[in-house]
Amino acid sequence: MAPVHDELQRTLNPTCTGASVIAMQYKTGVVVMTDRVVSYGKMARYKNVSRQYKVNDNVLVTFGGDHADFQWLQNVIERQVLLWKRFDQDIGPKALHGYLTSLLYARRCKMNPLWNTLVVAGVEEEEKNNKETSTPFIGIITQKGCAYQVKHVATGLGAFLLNQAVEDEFRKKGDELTRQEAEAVLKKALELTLYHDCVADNDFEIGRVDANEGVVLGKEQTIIGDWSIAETNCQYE
Amino acid sequence: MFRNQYDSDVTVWSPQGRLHQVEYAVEAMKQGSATVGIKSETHAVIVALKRAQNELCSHQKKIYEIDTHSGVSIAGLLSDGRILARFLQTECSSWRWDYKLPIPMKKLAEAMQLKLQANTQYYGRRPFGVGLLVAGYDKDGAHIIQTDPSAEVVSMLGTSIGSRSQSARTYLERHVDEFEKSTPEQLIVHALLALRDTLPAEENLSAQNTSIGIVGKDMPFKIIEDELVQTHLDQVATHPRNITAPGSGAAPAAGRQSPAPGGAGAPEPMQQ
Repeated sequence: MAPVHDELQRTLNPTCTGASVIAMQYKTGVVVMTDRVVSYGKMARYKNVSRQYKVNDNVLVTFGGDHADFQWLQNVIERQVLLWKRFDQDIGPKALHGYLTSLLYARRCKMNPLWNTLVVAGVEEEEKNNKETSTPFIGIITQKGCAYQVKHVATGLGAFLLNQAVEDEFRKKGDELTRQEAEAVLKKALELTLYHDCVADNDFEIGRVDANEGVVLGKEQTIIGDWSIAETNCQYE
Repeated sequence: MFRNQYDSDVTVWSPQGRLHQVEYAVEAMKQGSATVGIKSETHAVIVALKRAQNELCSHQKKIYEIDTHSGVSIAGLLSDGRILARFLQTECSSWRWDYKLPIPMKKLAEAMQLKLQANTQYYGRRPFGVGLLVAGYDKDGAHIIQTDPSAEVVSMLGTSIGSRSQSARTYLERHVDEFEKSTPEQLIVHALLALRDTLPAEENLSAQNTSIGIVGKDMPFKIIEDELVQTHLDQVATHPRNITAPGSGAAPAAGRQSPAPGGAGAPEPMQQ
């Protein structure tokens, strides 16, 4: 008799999702912005949910994509932190980025990918002590394990809408950007997603990793934007 | 023939609370030719004395590269040592695959310790008859890690294992304060002077029997062998040898020798 194989079950669609992540380097650190909604399809199902996870004083991980997968990843990261503690080290952004890259790539090779785009932001411990050369780190990992480092990024629908706008702003000042300037660029970018991305929300938070202050999770903020154009453009009755 | 009735199995305690098979394995390590490891703030150096089985034979390699930031030197059963060196290489490469970074030395030491210890606790196994000195450099600085068959894994400022290694340790104890601020070149000379003290009076270090491994800040692990050793040996030759000094190894029975019988007698051909 021919062997009977059960069907393999795979996640074919993410269920509850987070939208864009926008991150940018400034002189002594990184700022990362996410909105605070988790959608179920197009419905804004859960409000006031943070999509930023503080790993330790040097590393902040932010996600877009499936929320359940990210909750599972938080547990994986927590165990990594404990593994590194066992030999008296705090895991750095580069190491965590490398590890998550391997993990996401291994999962996609099993044809069972984690449905997340991850942004790992942080400062290496030894860079912290050397103020002259302190270079902040932003690393991206897509759900297929494609990974790269950048000075600024927008993921999700923001990847189509915002990268050019963010880059233009970044190039004006380059590495000399202050935190206030970087945050202003992010807020402007959020406003653009708000207009174009129907699952983006106007409640958001800006977290940061600074060489001097470490990880600082942002407070909840709201933006209204300018909706006057809607009156003339949207063919409302 | 038997030392006593409790020594035929690693897993059996003697009434004195000792594991004789493990202690015999430590003796095997002590019969291998000596190797010395020292470190400064920024560099770690290992030097080793190679043996040749006979006149027609080449000298056995004693220092292995583990990764770009780490290397190991071996004293004892060289075949066991190569298994462990291969194990360390595998640990390093799988860490690199996982994290895209070199492995921290503490993690490497932990992996090593777990592997060695298992062989002292499971029935039907035997401990590795080999001791290792692992030199490495990571974000915590330079490291020298010493291992032995009893699974004692320790981080050292400077150390030596193998036959007559007590003489080298005597040298290291006298000069330990100088190591921290030494340049890489000075470290090599210190290590070679310590290694020279393990030799009997009629022998000396040569380009054939000496190998050097060095790693440090902005310096990937490098093995220095054969004619490249000569410039360092020339440096060593400017320090005259004091054969009569205690512990200099003029006679196998000198007072400072290792208390174990293996430290003195003629080396077994199997150990390197």
